[in-house]
Amino acid sequence: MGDKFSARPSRNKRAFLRVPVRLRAKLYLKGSFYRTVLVQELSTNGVAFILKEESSPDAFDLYLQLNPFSKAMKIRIEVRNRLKVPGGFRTGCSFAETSEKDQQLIDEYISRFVSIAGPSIALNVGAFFCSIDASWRILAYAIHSYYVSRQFAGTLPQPIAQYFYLFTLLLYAALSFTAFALPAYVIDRKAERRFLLSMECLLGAFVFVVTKSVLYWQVHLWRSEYLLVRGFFWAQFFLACYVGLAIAGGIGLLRKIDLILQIEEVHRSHMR
Amino acid sequence: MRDLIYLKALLISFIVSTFLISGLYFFLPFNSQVRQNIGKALDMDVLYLTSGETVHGWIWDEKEGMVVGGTKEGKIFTHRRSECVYIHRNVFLQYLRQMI
Repeated sequence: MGDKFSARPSRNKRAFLRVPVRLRAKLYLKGSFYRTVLVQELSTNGVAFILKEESSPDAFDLYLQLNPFSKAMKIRIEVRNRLKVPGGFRTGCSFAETSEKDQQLIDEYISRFVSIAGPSIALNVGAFFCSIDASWRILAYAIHSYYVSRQFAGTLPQPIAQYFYLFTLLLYAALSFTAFALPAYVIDRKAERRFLLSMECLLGAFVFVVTKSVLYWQVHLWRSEYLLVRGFFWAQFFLACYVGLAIAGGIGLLRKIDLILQIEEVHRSHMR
Repeated sequence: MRDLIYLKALLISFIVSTFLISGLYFFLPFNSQVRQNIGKALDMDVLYLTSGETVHGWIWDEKEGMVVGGTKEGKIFTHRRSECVYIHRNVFLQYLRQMI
């Protein structure tokens, strides 16, 4: 062991993005089982886990499963540092030998971990659908008002409390377009705020869509004899479900975004 | 990232331009074919008769217990008011009102 390891944290000049994980792994020493450990951090070039004893060998074979259904990968690791933490010593190791395939799997795992593309694209697609929905509604509102006031000379009732509804419709359009126009990618805290704003706007649009879907249900639009009207009802129902799920996905993503930004901030500070 | 911005700009332009092009409807002459067709479609009435038959068309007149109108096929219909279970007037305009 010698002086190679320090009990105090040194400023780590790592160039590899490190993500927090909770993966069970087995340590083997010269071909025989040594210990089961809980891997707490994983990077493309190393792992960190807790060992109870301060003194342990300098190198191990690590058998790690990235998910319960994958084959365990064997990686030769070398201990780089130890840090006293509650419950033992956080042991940081670098990969000494990995197969190309295993390295690729680890790279993909970390890329997937830091990626938030899926839910953020779903939010954007939801906002896009709402924008289309808002546009046709405004147009249909104008056509309806025109026919009611001109062709039928006011004999038909105007849309629900005309000006209030028009205001609601314009607000819905503004929220949908804003949610769609705001960027979906989160690369820093500023972008995170924009992402939150986009989600809040979409939440407002979602309230409108759900209210309309409930109203359609109440007037039995889904039982209409016209395919066009029934199709419209189901399209609206799909929109409400899709936007709701996209928002739920976005809310579920918030903690992850915060975590990823923290990881990246630490990573950047080490890269400087 | 830049591609995504361009794509969004393109999609917004598409929605807005479709909206504006559709808005040209209001600038068309009143007797133009498009306006006549849309007006006719919104104005369509449906008669549900006691015989179970449904008549789609346009009611022109209702006098002395008689309902007179024309169908989509250009035929003229005359029914007693008592033969009609229900008359759904301006069907699509009513639907449009519920849908917007």
